[in-house]
Amino acid sequence: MRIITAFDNHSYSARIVSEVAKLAANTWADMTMLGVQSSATGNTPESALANKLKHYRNDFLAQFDGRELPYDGSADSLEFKKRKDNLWELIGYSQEGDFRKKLLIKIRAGEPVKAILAEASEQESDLIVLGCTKGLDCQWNGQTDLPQRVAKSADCSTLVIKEKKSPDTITCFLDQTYVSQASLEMVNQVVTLYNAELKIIGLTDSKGVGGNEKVETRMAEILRYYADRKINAWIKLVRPEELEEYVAQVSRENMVALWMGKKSLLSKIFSRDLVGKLVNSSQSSVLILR
Amino acid sequence: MTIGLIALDENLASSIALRYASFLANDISIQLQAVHVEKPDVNKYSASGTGWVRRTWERGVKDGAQQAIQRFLNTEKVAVPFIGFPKVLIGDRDSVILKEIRKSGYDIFIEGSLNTSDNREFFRLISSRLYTRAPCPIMVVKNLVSSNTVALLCGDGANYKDLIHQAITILKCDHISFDLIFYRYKESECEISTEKKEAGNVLFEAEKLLEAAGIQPINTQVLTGTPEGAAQLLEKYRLVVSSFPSKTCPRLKVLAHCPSPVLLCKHDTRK
Repeated sequence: MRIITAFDNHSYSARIVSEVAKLAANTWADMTMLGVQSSATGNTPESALANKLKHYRNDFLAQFDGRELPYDGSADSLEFKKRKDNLWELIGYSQEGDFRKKLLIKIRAGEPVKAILAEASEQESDLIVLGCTKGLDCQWNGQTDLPQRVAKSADCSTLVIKEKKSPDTITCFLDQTYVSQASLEMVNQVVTLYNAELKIIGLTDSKGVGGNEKVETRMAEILRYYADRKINAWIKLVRPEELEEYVAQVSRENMVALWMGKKSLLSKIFSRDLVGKLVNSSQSSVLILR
Repeated sequence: MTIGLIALDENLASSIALRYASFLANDISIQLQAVHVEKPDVNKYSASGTGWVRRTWERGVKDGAQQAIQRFLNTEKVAVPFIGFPKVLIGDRDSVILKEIRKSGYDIFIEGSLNTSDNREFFRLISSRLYTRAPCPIMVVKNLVSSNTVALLCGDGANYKDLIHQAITILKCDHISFDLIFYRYKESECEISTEKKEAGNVLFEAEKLLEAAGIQPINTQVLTGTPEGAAQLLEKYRLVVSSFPSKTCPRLKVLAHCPSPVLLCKHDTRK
């Protein structure tokens, strides 16, 4: 698994470091910590952001205190080197070497959405994580629509962590006729990360629940998957026409995970614009699974 | 020791009910008999003749159903204290289960029902022949809730004496605590009050009954508001115990919306 976490200079970025470290520790993920600056600065990145990134790296590694560290934790003469135009990478430690997992620290300059998506694409990332301001005004680096633009445009899963207390319930909207193993596992990891309750919302079809054996069989498999991991998942089944309103209602209180894979029925019901709207309007964090 | 009957089919609702029964059996003294009812195909049933022809045909149907339920139990891999092998019965589901409950005198009937946005299924259950005529309490399992607190839900006109008596008989143990809640309908946002007198004498009397059984409720509250709002507040409970609601009773809607399992207590004529 490869996780990319995007950072700017704001406090919500600092706050997500510990959560990302726990997620990385649980999944043994390869990590990229990506700083994004809007303007090009020649041969060196903005010093404030560069210093923040070094600081975030230290915080990230410190979260493994007492646990086995899969990354290189050395801190000798760390500095950002230009890799190509508008891309710098922290060197001075072994990014691969004998260490089992990679930890890359990078800074990209340019339009932030493009920069994040370019890095995600280049790294073939499974998950993009970014923090943002709390509540309805979901800002990142001064831009009000950046998190929702990333969430709706990314090809991989996206976790937008709003500046709020950890969610106690994660409501997961799954298209139960087909859900990838990776999505189920991602939800498992997030539930573990927050020690939260899991509620799974599935879709009935026009025949209703009792009329669709396929839906029930798949849903039972999903429940067994989580029961085997000692997670008691709640279920609720809603009709497709009620889904949008239900998502809006739930997102006011709980963290929402929405599966939007290519084969997902949800992706037909939920347009990408609605994903952006969800990220924006949700009071809590949002996980878009792909 | 409570002896219960649990209805199983090869479906999601039964999967949830089975897991919940296993979870419950960790805390309370209960043994269960599984039952599966196979509805006969009317055309084949009438064409299967009489005597040994019909008996052979019925045996074939039963064997097939027995294998399906055993496969279901093997897949679920859940530890449940079963009394014996699952019983497979043929006929109208409500009638044969009702007959089985009456014949063997079970203390409780358990089945799963999916938590959906459409409450009609719950209303259909409540008005079914099985539910209205069953002589024992009925547990409808909608979800697995891992809390250790049970809500005893009273209301205007509810038979709280039978409710408390049956809840204690089945659930009293060291691992389960109780909240005593009086619900009253109000067309407004839900409010919780600790003023017991708002419920008249009911909460005072109910507390006395619990105390006599050595139980001190953790919270005694009056809950007012819409059924949807009240149901949301009840979702934290491992089980919501109520007297069997009438069709016009506001608690019926609360129970329909409630995502937690519910235990419906019947008027106890055996006391």
